[in-house]
Amino acid sequence: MKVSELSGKANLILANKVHEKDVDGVFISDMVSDIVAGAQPGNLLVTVQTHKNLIATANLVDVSAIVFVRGKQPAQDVIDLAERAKISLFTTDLDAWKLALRLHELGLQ
Amino acid sequence: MADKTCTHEWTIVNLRNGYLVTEGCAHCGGRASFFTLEDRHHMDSYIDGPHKWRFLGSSQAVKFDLQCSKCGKKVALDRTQALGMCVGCKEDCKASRKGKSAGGENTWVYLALCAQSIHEKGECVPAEECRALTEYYQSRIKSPGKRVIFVSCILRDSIDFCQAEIIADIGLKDID
Repeated sequence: MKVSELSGKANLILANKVHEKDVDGVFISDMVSDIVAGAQPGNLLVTVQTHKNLIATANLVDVSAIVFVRGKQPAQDVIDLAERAKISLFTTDLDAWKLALRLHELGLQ
Repeated sequence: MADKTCTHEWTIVNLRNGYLVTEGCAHCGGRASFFTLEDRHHMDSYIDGPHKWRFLGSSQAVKFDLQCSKCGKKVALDRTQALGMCVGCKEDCKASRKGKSAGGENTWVYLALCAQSIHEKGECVPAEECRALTEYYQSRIKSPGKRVIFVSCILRDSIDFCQAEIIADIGLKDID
C-alpha cells in the first residue's frame, strides 16, 4: 500500500501533505525510546504522542507516515518539522486497537 | 572474528530499558546525563570534585550496542547516553555544518550525547560509536537520497541554546 492510499482506504484525515512512500508494516507505540530501537523502516507509525521529538525519532527510523489516534492533533511546529522530513501525518478519532483492526483488514501486517 | 575489511551490517544487541537521568551542577551550571537501569535515584545533592550535582529530572530511555551480523564485531555504545536530532538552529554551529558539508538538504545530523555537557576533560562520544550509529541507521533508510549522520555532541556550539530534539520520553515515566 502507498501512503497516498491511506486516507481513502483507512479513512484517515491528512494533516499535512502526502509524501509518497510504500507502507511496509505497522508499529504502534507512544514512547520514542521504544520507537528508536523497535520500529522498522517503512512502518506506518501509530501513536498518541504528539511531541516534536516524535518526528525526530520517526525520521531517524525512516517510517513511511504517522497516524495520530484518538483525535490527537499535532501542533504547527510538529507539522512543520514533519514537512521538512517529508513525513505524512494523519489523524483519526479511532483508538489504536480499532485502527489496527482496520489496517489489518486492508492487508497491512 | 571481527574483520577489518568487512562492510558491517549492524544489528541491535544488548537492548536495555531504563532511564536517562539528568543532573545539574550548582557551581558551574554544567549538566550531566547518564543512563541507568535503577528505578530509584537519590534526590540529595552530592559533591564530586569541583561539582555539586543535583537531580534535575529523568525520562524513560533505552540503551543498546551494535553488532555486525557478518563478522561479529561489536561496538558497545558505552559513551552514548542519548540521541538527539539537530534542527539547524544556528548556522555556524559545527554540528549543524556537518550536515551541510556531508550532503545538504536531505542530510540529517543526529547527535550522540555523552554524559557530561561541559566536556571538562575534552572527551566525548568516540568516532567509532558515531560511525557505527551512522552505518546502522543509514543502512535501514528506504527514502531515496536521504542521509543521516551521527556526530558527537561536543561539536555543539552551546548546550544552553541548542534546540536539538532529544530522543527521550520526557515526563512520561519519571523516576519518583
